[in-house]
Amino acid sequence: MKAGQFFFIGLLSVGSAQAQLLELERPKAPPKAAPEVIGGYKAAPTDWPSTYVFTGATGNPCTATAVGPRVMVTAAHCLPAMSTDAMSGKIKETAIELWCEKAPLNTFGYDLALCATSAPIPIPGGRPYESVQVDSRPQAGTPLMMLGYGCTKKGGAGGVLYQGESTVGTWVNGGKQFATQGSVALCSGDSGGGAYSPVGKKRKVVGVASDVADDISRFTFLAHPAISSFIKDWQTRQFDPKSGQAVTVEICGIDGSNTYCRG
Amino acid sequence: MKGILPSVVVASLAGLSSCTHLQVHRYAKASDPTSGYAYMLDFTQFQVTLTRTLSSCEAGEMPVVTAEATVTSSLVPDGSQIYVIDPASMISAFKTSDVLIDYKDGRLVGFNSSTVDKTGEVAASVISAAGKIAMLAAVPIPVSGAQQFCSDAAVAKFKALKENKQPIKEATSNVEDAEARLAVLTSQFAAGPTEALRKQIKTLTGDIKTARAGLDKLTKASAAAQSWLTEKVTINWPEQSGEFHRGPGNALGPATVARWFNVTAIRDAISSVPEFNPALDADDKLVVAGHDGTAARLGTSVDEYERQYSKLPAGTDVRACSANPECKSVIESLQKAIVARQVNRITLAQISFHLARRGSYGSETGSVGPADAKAGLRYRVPAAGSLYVCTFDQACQNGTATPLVRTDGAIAQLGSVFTIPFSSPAFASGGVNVKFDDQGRLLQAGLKRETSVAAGVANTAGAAVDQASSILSALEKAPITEANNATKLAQARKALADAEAALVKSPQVLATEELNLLKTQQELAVARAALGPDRAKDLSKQIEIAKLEADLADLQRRQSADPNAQQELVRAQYEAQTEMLLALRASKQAEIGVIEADRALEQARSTGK
Repeated sequence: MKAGQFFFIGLLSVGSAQAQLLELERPKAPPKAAPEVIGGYKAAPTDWPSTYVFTGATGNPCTATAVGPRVMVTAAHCLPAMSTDAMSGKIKETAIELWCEKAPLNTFGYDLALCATSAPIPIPGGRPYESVQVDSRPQAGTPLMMLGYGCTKKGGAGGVLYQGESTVGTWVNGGKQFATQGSVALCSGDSGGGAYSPVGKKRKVVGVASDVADDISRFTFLAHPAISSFIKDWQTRQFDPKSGQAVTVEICGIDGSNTYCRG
Repeated sequence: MKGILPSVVVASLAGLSSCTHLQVHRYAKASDPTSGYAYMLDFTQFQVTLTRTLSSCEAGEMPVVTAEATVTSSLVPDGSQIYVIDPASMISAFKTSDVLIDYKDGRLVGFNSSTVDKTGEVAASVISAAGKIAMLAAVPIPVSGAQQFCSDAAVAKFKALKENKQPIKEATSNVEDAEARLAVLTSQFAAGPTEALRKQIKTLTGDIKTARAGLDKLTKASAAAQSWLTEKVTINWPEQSGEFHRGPGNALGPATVARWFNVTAIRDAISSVPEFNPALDADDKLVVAGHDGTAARLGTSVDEYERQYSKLPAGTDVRACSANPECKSVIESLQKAIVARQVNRITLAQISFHLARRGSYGSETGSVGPADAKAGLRYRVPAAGSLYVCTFDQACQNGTATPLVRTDGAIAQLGSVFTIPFSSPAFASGGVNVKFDDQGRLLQAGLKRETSVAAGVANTAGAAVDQASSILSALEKAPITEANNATKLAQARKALADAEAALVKSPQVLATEELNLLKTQQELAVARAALGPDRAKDLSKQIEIAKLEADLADLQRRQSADPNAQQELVRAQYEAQTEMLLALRASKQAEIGVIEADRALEQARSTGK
């Protein structure tokens, strides 16, 4: 019996050692010498206090956004590809742990993942969490603010938070995603970053950056019925993996309080 | 003409009962007659030299392979079109028959013909086309970091090329400047030798040798890197006369794929992109048909898809299916197949071949000709057509994509198999004679009669006129004119190329002749004494320079003729090749300068100046 217990513990240890660990951190302030992103401009991290960056499944940067005290939203493809494994991690320089789940059929255009945290996500200066818009879709032509911890030039790795304005273009992949086209395009490291509308302080996250081809950037659309129902379903089944206790994961824009949510 | 035709037909019919026919059997299987004079028809085969180069390895973007193809064509025996002329039938048909059959490479080139025409040989194998294109696959890329999709080794080669580019440019310029200064000093020294000039020449030649060594090292490193990033193969297509389309195929070799790409990273990246998953409608139901349906993404027909994935019919609710382990497994298998196709598209850089006729004459399914042995001699009349080399699995002959290369000309197997029948009444004597050129085209057809039996003449003539009319008709049609024009154009092009080559290569020829003369007369030692110790070496360098000049001219000619030369990546490749050749030329010229300077100094020393 004891040998069996030992074997079981051993398996857990192996599993833990092989698990990929996310480590989220706040974007650094842009260095003065940083070149401009094509079509966009450097963002002051203080204007986007809920934006985090982490190393994704490919070993390169991805962007995540805190949309509730204990909820992060990012792109599913930033987690291991072709895998249904949940991914765990922590917020850098804190004891806060997180565990993530990809949306079903994420490779079909529902490129979204949600992460719950073991404690409230720290926001500098006590600023509000970003809110999501899941009840209505933005109209084509609606101005957008795209945000990402992206590159400084096409094909290059960045390391600085950038923002740029665009508009909602066509709906693609059966309405699961919307595309933008123009002078501002997503680039490496932007995956998981938010597309905000309207542009301004009362902004809401309407999409999550997914991919780009020939300067056409695509975002997973949060108000798609399958995505919004996944988000609401996910909220009902969050348990702390260590304590096994149910965790309340309020999401700004759905059931979050006005006291800590933007807008 | 219309008025006399019925009588000819009647005469022919009347004479049929007493006719003896020239019989030519088709040999298609082992049991067919093998006794007689066998010959094969020809078909056009293309020799495609395909050079694929890894041209771009930008982080966050899919790798780009540039393909270049040069095409030559030739006629090869068609093993599916073998005929046997039955001599017995001829003996009975011709009372005084001389039978002479001319062959070339197993091909019938003359039948009772006194001479075999050779005029077609020039056009038998010509460089007919060359093209270069960037094989871009429009692939959405997940924007999760600047992922590198090439191998580390490939990235290192690009880095070496990039780092060497400016030093090569600067070193080339420095060597050229020094060589020009040395030439001035050397001529000054020849006119009035001084110790100061001698010292300057010695110093400068030493500097040039050092600079040249550095330049050689750089150019060799870059050439090695460029060679590492290039794969070259020669393909003979088609292998059978009945093959009109092939592809996609001729993939990069497995070792090259492993050397160039990070296949795992490519697979992981594209597997998360919706376009490389089964197609769904707005309700997440499976879409099979259509230009962007699942079958198209898989690269198969709808029927083939339905056979292969019978458990996933159109309209399958993928969300519900994913909840069922068995169904989910099939979906994952389908996903992997679609992803694999796209991975292959990016990493294998495949091409496809298509033959297409131009004009109304010809067939893209092949012509067999009549089975009846009495149909007589068979030959093909080539059709004007084109070979298209397309990238990936594209059917670019339909104008749906830009071909890698298109070459126009007379293509034998696109044409029809025609016949020359001959029948003779009893007691008649005579002969039929035909000549073909080396393209398998009929050059001359004749009929001779030595009898007063009018019916026999009328009968035979009727048949021959009938056949000759169709031959002439075919010859006079536009495609043949186009074929002739294509040949003329090819000949003109060749003449132009020869003239250009002669222009470019003349220093090479002169230098070669001079060197050969020295060698053949066994006077090399004497010549060295007369010309200086390094004259032979000097001449060798001049030959090398002349060859480089020819390479440069060839590169410029190809670039000016290449419709894709303005593509950014294609242009960059031409420029890189040009820079490399210019650097090599500068290096060789500098070496000659040093040799001349050494010789001037040596002569001055020996004459005591």
